[in-house]
Amino acid sequence: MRRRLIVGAAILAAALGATAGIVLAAAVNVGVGNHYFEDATVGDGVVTAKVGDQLRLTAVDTGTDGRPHTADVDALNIHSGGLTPGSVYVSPVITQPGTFVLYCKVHLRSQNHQTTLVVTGTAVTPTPTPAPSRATPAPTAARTPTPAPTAAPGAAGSSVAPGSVRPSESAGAVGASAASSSGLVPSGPGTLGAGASTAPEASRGGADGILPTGVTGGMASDWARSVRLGFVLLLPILTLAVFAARRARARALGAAVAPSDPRAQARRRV
Amino acid sequence: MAFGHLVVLPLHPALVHFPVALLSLTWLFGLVWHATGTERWGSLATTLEWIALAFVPFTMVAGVVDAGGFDFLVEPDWTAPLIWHFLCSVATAILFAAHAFWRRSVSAAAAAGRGTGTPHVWVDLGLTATGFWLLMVTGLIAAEMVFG
Repeated sequence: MRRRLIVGAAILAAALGATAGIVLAAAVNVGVGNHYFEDATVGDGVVTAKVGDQLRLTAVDTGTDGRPHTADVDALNIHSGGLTPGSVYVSPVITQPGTFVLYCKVHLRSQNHQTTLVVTGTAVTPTPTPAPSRATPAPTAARTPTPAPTAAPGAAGSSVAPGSVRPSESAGAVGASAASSSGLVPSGPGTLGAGASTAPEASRGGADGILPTGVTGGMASDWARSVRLGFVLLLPILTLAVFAARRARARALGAAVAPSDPRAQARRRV
Repeated sequence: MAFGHLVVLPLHPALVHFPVALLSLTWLFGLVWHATGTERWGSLATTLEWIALAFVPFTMVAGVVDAGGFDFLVEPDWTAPLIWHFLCSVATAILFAAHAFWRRSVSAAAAAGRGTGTPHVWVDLGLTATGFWLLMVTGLIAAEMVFG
């Protein structure tokens, strides 16, 4: 009898622990658009999350160049691949606190598409997490520019536990419900997982030669350095121009060259 | 207005090298002309400059197509290199166009019996040197976008 009680208590504890895990792993809804990443607090330029959260990134639109956005955080091993409008990507569980750069690999350098991801809490030992779900297309693409502020991170119905979703349907069922609750895409049947796929242009950022693969998270393409280098080039360009102008002027005034200057006279003879 | 990705491969990088090379040679041959006094370099520079300017509209249209339309102008991100690449390239084109038309007006004036037909050296070299410098800055910003 006593042994049964112990076993029962152990099972109960395990179940509670699993439930706690489910509750703790909240999803932070983030809208991805031209050219921003926004969570519930729109306009602050920061996406905030806690250790144990997952980012649920929903693409609002395609880049102005027609190429889909991506969501990448190198340090947290978050790489969404191409996100077509309405598609959702659920990241792995975040296990370490800190300040990271959340960026779009495709539009980072041309449009500076990045923001700061602030993760609070204390680091936890990584536990088995569900494989990052692939981006899944939504039934229709809503072009709502920002997520609805009422979609509080971790709200009921938006929590995702490690292992609670199957890869084949995670992006569909979970993603669609999250997107719907956040106002990013209209509500739809939660059966969008079928045919979950990454956009065909997912790897274009690195494959078409526009951008090299493996963009590092250093960010802020320091394009101003090209302007600084340009100013360095200004010196030799102007020097050559001045040299040519002086030669032309000297030639025009050649008749006035002092006859006592043998080198000038030699040049004139030539 | 967004065009989307109309073509599979970007057109702008394929076209832009022609005006870049020709305008660079325009600047270089202008220098040689003034430094040596050989008129042939001057006429060659003028010819190359007009050919380059004929290429410029195609290059700019290709750039806008590759950028997916004019959205980057409607809501410019001043921290991103694209808008600066665009502005520098437009300034470069305007400078070289102004130089070409100014040279032509000088020649026309000489043909009408006014002036010698030789442009003022400081104006001539000033315009081309500034244009060439802007061309270099434009290319550096483009390199920043591609290679970062």
